[in-house]
Amino acid sequence: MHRALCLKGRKRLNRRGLSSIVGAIFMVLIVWSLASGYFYFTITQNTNYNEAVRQKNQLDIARMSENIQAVNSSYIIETNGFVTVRAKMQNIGSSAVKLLNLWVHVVENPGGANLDAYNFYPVGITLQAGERWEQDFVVSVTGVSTSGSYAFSAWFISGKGNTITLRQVNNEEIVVSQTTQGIGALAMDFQEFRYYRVNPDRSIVNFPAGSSGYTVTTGTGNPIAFKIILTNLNYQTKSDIVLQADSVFFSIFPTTAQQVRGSYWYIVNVNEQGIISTTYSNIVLRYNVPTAVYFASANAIKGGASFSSSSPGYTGTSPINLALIGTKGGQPFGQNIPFVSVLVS
Amino acid sequence: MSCNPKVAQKVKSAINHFAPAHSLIRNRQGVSLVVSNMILIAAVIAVGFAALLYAQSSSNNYVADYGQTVNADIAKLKEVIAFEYVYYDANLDKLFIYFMNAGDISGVTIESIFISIPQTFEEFQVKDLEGNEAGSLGIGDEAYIVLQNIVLADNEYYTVKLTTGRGSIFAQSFMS
Repeated sequence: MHRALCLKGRKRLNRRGLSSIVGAIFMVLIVWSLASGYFYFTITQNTNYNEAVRQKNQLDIARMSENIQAVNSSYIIETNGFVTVRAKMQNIGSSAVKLLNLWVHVVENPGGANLDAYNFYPVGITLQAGERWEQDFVVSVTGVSTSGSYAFSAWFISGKGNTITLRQVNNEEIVVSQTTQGIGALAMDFQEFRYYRVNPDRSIVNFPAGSSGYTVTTGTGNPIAFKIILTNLNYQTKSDIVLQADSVFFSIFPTTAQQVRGSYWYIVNVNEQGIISTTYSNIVLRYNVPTAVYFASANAIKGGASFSSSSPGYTGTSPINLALIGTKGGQPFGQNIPFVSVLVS
Repeated sequence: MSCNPKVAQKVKSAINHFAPAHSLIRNRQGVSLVVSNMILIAAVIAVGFAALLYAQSSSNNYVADYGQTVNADIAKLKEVIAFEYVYYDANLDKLFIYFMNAGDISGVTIESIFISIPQTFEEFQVKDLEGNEAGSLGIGDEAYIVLQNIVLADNEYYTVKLTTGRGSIFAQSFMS
């Protein structure tokens, strides 16, 4: 028994292997903590980087999804040192676009003072998806004058850094395609010549569709109104044409061989509900903007006179004349457009 | 003196009961082994902790550097410069560069400008559109730079490259 006890004691007493075990445990602990910590940190950093890449790609996609069309832009110098940029814009993209600045670059055509100038205008407009916008921007450009001849270029800068170029209206196409429709500064749209019956309360029947203006079937005694689409083709200066109260749509009925009879309808204002106003405010025809103009009054609405309905008075075939009076670019203007005929029955 | 045999027997059995301690006490060589082992174990534990702490601090330094590098790359990724207009005035030999910070991070600075003449500029002023000096660009901020004494050939395409403080490069072509 003593021997057995001695053997056990020898085994208990022989503890030299313990330090190696403890050292090995610590080594494993060190390696494990370093490796796991570093691995976890690397994974986290890679996740952060991938997230940043994803956000960058999302930003690029958002920038690429911006789509603004700016067409039929025109440039007018109404005052020395200022360029008026007329822009029609539509956001055909899927996201809202904020327009920051409008840049304008003006180069004088050969034969002038070799002006080469530019400037920008802070716009600050946000266009929602699908929204249309039309606005005049007056940009100060040193050196431009109303008598000069220039080439213009303009572009918008969006909030995401995209450039939207303004496409200028093609003046040659306008002049060539619309020459047959009118001569002079105004052109008439023959397809949109309409007439309407007028109620006693000054409301227009079947507004705005109306009936073809070439065939009036209301007889002689019923008040009617005519609608004509006019377009300002003032290519040289692109200034506005203002129609005054004296503008008149008049017809000549060859009732007898010796005498003719006339009927006339003076210019009126019609609101969106198709109600003729008792008073008249000048109608402005902007360059290359087709505008509906109505003629319905028996007298010129000016000098205190108010609207009074007018009827044909006669039947038969009648040549029509548009005698338009007003101003063009602030100067007196008048044009007669004698291109349609009407049959009244 | 004679011993009571019963007492002696009892003492002997008691001694035998504490035989290990008895042998320990008698055998002093076993005591030094245990003590030395305990000292060795303590030393290993102390050195182990020291090694662990050293390894931890070294790895902390390394991961901190790695983290800074990754964060710098992320910041660089977020920078976007959009050019609004680049205009060369041949009469004044000046180049006007208008741009904006269209990215998702502020604190954008311009470190250098390269024009494909070739020429690099490191001294210039960045101004906001009101003409005030701008230190760094926030998100959406616009600014411009005017480079003097630039001589470019007429009707030629050139490229201007802006290098930001974070190392991003943005280029734009223009015609003189």
